[in-house]
Amino acid sequence: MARVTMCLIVLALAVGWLQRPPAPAVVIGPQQTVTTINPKMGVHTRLTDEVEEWKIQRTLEMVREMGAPWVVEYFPWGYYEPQKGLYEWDHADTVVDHAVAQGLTVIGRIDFVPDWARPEGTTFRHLDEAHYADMGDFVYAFVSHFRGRVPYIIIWNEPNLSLEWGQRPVDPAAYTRLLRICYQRAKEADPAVQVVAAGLAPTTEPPGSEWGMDDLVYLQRMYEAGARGCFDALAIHAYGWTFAPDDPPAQDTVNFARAELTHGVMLRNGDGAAPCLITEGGWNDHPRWTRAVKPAQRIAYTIRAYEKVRQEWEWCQAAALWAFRFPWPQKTYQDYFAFVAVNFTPRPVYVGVQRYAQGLASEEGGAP
Amino acid sequence: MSRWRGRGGLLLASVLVIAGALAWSGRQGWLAGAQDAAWARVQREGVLRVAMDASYPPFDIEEGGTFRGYDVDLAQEIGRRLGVEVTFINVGYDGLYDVLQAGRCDAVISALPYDPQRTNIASFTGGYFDAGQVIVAPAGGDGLQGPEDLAGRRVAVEMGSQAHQEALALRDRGQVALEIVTARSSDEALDMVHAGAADAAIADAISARLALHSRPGLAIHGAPLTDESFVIAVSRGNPQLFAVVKGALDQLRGEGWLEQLAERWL
Repeated sequence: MARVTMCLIVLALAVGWLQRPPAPAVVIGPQQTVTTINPKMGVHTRLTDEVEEWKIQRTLEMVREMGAPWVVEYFPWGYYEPQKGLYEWDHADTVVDHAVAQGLTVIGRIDFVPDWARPEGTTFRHLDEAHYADMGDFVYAFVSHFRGRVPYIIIWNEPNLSLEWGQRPVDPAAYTRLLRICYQRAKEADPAVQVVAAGLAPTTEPPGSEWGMDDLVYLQRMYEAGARGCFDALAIHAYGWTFAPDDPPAQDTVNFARAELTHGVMLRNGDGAAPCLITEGGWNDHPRWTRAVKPAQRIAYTIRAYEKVRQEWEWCQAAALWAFRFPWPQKTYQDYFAFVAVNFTPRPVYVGVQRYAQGLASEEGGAP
Repeated sequence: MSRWRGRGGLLLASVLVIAGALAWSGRQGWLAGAQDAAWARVQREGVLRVAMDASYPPFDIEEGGTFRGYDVDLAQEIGRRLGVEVTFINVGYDGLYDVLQAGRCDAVISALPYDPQRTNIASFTGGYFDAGQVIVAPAGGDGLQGPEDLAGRRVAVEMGSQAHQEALALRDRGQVALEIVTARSSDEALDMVHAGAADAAIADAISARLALHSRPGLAIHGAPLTDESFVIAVSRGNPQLFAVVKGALDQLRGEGWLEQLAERWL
């Protein structure tokens, strides 16, 4: 009898072993830390539409290996709340868990209006005021779910462009009202989360332009609409185009140092204690695009920009440059913003920045 | 064989009839009740609004409010054949599909690659210029006609570029035993071939064609390795406008006009 019982137990164990859930193809792995001489270095990843988990993991490993402790990632509201109150976090969890395991600090950008929250025929950047509370609800759910894992959230993207405001005239006061609602809901979910006001598109659009509003004017209008106290930090988009990072800023010029003018608006409005985060920016090395520079220039400019933020811009917490890697070839000049090719081949700028982060003299002459 | 030819002829005839009907419906306003609003407006106002990111020479250039380039000439020729004027809207690349969707332009002509993710909002014509990767080597090429002939040769590519990825794919998956030499730009890769430091280079067709002007003795060998065709996008909600734009483009292709245009700008 005992032998029969023993046989049954062994059989049950064998069946159980055979029917166990398959081991995950990708495991998160042990906790990593970023080694770098510049703790402000970051990149904007593009993992929203990356399907395969190993590619998500490899992307974030390469960010760590480059020496960048910060990542900005896009979390489209419409992807994660397909119906009002129905949240699907699986993909976002995958991205965030891998990022955290690589020792990266995640800044989450939230926008992309779901179909159910906007009129038919509008773009996903169209949000009527009647639905601001819905976005507030999503922010509450997002911050609750990612408490302790995503410490910064950006509310919207470049609202000073008509394109990013649903092809409508831009409205700093309306955006401020949206920001206020999202700030309140985020803090209800987690008082420690840092709410970041949207990075504005650096532009010198003239007054009355149908396409957008000068970013410095827009930020001033936000303050006039009561934005102070509605955000903990301000995102800045600091593109250099064809200018060096040390070129001086000017109201009528879009260059990297325009960020200083943005910070100046904050100071004039008594908000100098709020930090800034560069959440997009950098240079492009396409061979023909009119806003691109040569690959060697790009390396030197990028390294100098990271160094400038570290040494000279104490008001700037991080500089996350656009864009680490695209999930598939864009087949346009956009590909030449990438640090890493689609197939994970490092581009020259990646190699140069990695050497800089390791404290090795760059062959391009960048710091140190 | 003759039976097969007969079926082919029938198919061709069908295609021509359908194409003709589409074109005729667009031109004549046939089934006026079903005419799309964009085509009606273009006819009424006599203006075709084209969006482009005019920062991409030699295709899309804007200087002092004046637009020029390959795409500008193409748009104006299409407009001429439709009997309308063309106006241009300069929009950042990220915003091209948005202005199309919002009805702020009628068509996007902007060195735009076909994007299967956008077929829910846009209809795409066939390609009018293939910017895919090509092989550049000394003219004559020592028997170099296609990618398999790169075996045993030193091939220069820009590090991390599409050309680099194509070379890696040929070597690792295509079993072509080529030696890859990386450069920091496509120009540098082409210079290596010109200087004899590499046997061939892979580069996008635009870089390659432009490079040939300043690097005598080099030539493009064989067909493009990849298809990176530029297309025209029209809103999916405007089927008649799409039909007439596509019809005009097909006509230009059939006449060899696109080749002449490429010669003019590249």
